[in-house]
Amino acid sequence: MILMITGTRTGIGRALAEHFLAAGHDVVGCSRRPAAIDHPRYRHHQLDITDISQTKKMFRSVRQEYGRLDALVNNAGVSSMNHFMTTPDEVSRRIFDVNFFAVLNCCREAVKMLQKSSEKSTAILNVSTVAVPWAIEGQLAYAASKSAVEQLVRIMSKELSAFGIRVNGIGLPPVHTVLTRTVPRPKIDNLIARQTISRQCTTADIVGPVEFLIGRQSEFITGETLFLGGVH
Amino acid sequence: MTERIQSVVVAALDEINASRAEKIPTDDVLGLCLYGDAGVFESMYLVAFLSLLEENIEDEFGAEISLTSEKAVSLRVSPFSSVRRLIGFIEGELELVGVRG
Repeated sequence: MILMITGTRTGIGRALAEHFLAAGHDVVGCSRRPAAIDHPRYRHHQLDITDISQTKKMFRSVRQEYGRLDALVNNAGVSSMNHFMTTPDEVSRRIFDVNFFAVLNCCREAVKMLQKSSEKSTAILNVSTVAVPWAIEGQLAYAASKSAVEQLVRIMSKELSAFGIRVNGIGLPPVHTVLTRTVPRPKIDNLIARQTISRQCTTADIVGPVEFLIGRQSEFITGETLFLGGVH
Repeated sequence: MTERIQSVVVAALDEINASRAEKIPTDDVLGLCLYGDAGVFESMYLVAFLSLLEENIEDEFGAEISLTSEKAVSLRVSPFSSVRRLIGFIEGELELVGVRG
């Protein structure tokens, strides 16, 4: 399988990339900074994912090297913990640029190559957060941008169904990553206490569901966002 | 240049036909209506065809143009009403980015 994962420099994206490489797949990754993974089947693109021309260039190089794509995981994201009254406009816009518009652009470019896959059912997977169903205070722009992503999942799944492309989401509780390192520990502990499974989610908890949602075993699932840890 | 563009369009139609049970007739390709009442594509399939065509144009001419732009969809005479018109639109867009026959 040839898959693209955005945001592979650190955290969840890196763990996913390393997992799929170890499983024998080809992985194309990207981040703002240089590659953190050195593997013969890994290709890294250093770019600003909000720049559509750079995104197109990345997909063009994938097309030239592989001619197709079997799955896309839109993992790259940014967050900001702040009361909305004190969140600068440019911060909110940046969050939407990365978390929503970049996802939309990656999906648009990926669809062209997903259609060339020999897989019966190809997949797009987008990362969401418990901040959506829990409407966590202090995360207005972040949660709103991910709400938009969940709506994207529902609508895009219908618009791409005829092409055999599934679109799903995975909703994550707090994971120890660069995204959550600035969140105070008591806040994290409170969120974990709300989960049905009351322990902190690890990257190992995420790999299996991601593999399922982009793989053949979930070929009858589309338009859904699966939450981990028991959040409803 | 018109003939080169036509070849690219026909190649894209052939590629689409390869995965379709109901083949798009290409015997009178210039008069083929792509979209609308007599069109051979429904909207999503038209978008897929145009995306493929954009890639093939980029491979053939080394230039990136958009066939789904505001300009393309808002022209009084739609470039998707026939392959002949689509070729004319592509030729115009290529000239705008400096590609000449």
